[in-house]
Amino acid sequence: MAQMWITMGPQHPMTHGLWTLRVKIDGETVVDTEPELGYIHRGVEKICESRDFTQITPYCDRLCYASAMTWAHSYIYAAENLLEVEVPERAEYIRLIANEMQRIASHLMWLGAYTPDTGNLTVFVWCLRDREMFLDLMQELGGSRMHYNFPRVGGVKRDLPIGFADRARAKTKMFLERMQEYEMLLDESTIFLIRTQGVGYAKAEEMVNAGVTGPNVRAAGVNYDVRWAHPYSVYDEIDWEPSVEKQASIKGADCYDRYRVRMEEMRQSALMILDALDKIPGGADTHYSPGDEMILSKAPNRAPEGASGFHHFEDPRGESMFYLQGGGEGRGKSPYRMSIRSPMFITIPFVAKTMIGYKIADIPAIMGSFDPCIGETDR
Amino acid sequence: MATHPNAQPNFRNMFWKPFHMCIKAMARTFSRGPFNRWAKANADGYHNKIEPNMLDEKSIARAEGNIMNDVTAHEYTADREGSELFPTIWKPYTIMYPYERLEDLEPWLFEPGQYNGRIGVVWETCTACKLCIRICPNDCLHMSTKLRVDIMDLQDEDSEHGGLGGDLQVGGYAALPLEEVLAAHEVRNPVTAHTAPEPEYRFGEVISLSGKTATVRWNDSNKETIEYSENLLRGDEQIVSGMIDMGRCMFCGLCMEACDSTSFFMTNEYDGLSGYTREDLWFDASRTRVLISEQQEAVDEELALRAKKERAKRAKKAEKKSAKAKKAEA
Amino acid sequence: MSDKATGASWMVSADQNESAAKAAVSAINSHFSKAGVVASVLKHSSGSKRSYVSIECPPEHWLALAKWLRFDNGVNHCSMITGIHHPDGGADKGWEVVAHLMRMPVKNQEPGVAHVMRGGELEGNDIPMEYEVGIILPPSTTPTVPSVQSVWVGADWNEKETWDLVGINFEGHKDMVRVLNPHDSPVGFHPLQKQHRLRYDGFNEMYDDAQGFGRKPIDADKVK
Repeated sequence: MAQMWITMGPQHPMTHGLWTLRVKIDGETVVDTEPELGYIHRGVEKICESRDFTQITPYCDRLCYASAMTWAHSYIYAAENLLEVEVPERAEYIRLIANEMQRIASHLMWLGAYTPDTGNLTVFVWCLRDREMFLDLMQELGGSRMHYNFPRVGGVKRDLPIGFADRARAKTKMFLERMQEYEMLLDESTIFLIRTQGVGYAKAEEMVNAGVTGPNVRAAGVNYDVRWAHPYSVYDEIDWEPSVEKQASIKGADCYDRYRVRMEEMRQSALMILDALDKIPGGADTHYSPGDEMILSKAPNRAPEGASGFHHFEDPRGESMFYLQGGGEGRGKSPYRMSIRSPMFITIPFVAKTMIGYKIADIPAIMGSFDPCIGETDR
Repeated sequence: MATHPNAQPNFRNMFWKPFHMCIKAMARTFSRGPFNRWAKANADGYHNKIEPNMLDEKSIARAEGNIMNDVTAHEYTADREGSELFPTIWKPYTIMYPYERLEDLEPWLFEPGQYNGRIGVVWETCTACKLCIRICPNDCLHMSTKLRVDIMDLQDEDSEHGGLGGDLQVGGYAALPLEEVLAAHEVRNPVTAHTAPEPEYRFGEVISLSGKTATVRWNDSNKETIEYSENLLRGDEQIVSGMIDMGRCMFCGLCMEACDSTSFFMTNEYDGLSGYTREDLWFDASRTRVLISEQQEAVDEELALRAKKERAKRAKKAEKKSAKAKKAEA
Repeated sequence: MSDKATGASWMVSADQNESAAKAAVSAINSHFSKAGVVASVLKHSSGSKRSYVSIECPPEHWLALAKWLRFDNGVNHCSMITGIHHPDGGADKGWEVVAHLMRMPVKNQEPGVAHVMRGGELEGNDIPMEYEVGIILPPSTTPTVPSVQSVWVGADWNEKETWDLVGINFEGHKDMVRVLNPHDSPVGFHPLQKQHRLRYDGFNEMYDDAQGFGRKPIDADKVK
């Protein structure tokens, strides 16, 4: 039978973002793939060369809109490295709570987008319903549901509102119970199991060499998490365990492993939130006004020329990194160069090669299981 | 069709789970009064499970005395009780937007200073410092200002608004009245005049003040001269018009944080921001009204500060007057 | 925070981090000192102030250094390769390529067995480490750096992005195409070079007529 190239995208409901996957098929089997990115390249790196450090934070929220809080924090940690700023401990705890809530919300969005791809529409509405709980919590912190503009260089914008701790605890405990419902529904569903097990094998050595990080590589048994390998914030004071899955077979980790890793990560994040609310210095029920030194320390707003700072950060999709170079006397208020490392930029070409040998119908399952977010890929 | 070992039909899924669902639903629905305990134990979600912490005796008595109304702590999300008689049957989670609004059901999410909603500006207290314009990442805020003499500086000393003007400040502006122009403008008829009115003042920047004199660098010639302070009026860069491009605004809230004079707010409104063309999204002063009651505290503080300054000024002027009068007498 | 079962710590401690950085630096310096490669241990200036290895490498030795790092130092992950244009850098510094590499601990990957290593137990070349390699190029219209596409798969798309956005050529890179800009972008157009300026650069106004004084009502030309 003749082989032909088919274009999936750029508008395609299962590619989870705006990119094109050109697939060469022989009947139903995928023989070759070619991803094309760049449809939402907005030039963020160039724009941020002419913005102040505080003005860049809302741009970084919009890099990966499904996981805005973590991207803003990733930038802020790099900016603090560049400007040599100390962050008060209470602010670090607040950041940890916000980041872990965002991790849960991002994984719920992933699950809510992935399960309909495999045919299970109920989990879609369940995940979005539970994601609403965390979006409401982050709305109290940041002021809007998806782009919060929450961290500042040297701390956070404002403290936990009054009553936040009670609501957060209630919602997180409720979520831990609800997770059991998801697992019950998905782990005992023939369709989901058949579509995800044995599909999309990805070997650990290949993933490590390609630079794939985060839940994707932890599904293959490689225990690498930036939160323990290069600790930042107060992750060493919180009680948690990295979530790793064994590879399913000698061929690598399949989609089901990646699903299990993310479910376990959500559970760990929920436990981290509860733990952080207990351990936060100053108590979770006190409220310091914005700009108080408990939550925001004074930061210079100029970086000397030749100074640079970078920070690796554990994003829900992998390891993200910002590299900033300072601008010196004249343009010191903006970075001279801002370079963004997006985990998905490296993962998507890798995934495109993983799909070879499977059927077209497996493409959404494999693609979705790696959790692409094109906002951060294209910047 | 292929089957999976985990997914075989089994008695638990086929019988026990539906059975428990029915029993719990019945317990939730039909348990009132003395059987409230079952209702609470089988309630779905986080409603009807938590006793509220009543603050005083009266409230506790009110809660306990009412066996028909199941008083629980509805703190965490919208109250979705279907009816008072069967409070455990819930309405759908979806908030029916035009008829129910989330800000009525969960007001803590929409605190006026915390939520990044529509921009609201109290133009009266704006001092045209342009901090908001400089911090906006998207260049959405536009303001045109004019250097002029404030009307409070032009009032007679004895009138009811007299004495409320400002003094010359180093770094501020000074205005020299041009007598011929002012005289000409007394008799000018704006209805029939052929040319625009000429500027009535000559403006300059105050470099330093000492005693009765001020060093002024004039804007037109860039030269510095020394003038008597009593011949000069104070000049202000004042806001004439402002436009906000809500089409570009990304609701980040940096402008609200930058505003020193507490005139710039992000209200908690999200309605009424739409239009058919991009020009419709340009908001001018009339569309950036602030519901003063919500930002009342901030506005009150600012106005109180200014009232204090004015009172201090009036007191000083009154002292000066009485000192002069005493001298004249003596 | 430690593992409940064994009590070993999950976290990589500061001492491990420091010792790993020093070991890597001394190995690099002893191996490459004659090539002009200078490695040093720097610390992040905020947060937990961890050490990392910072290397300055002349462009001609970059491929050799990359291979040595990968195979003898265990640096198995190329995190990012980025380029910077310095039009005002003087006679020595016209372009800069910065490569960020990481060492991920990967031990004995066997199927069906997850080696859940605990950070506190890692030693030697297994300790995770961050590397930053800076390559400075003199000013030129065709800056060139050898490509490390053959050493790390992750460098492939990073180099494509650097060439696409900044314009630094990678010698030996197969299949160099535009990855973020459209495929039909003009040849020689690399947006992140400093001569291309945005409209809002330096806080100049983005608009010609900000307050819309020149705009016409919607029904202009339509009402008689």
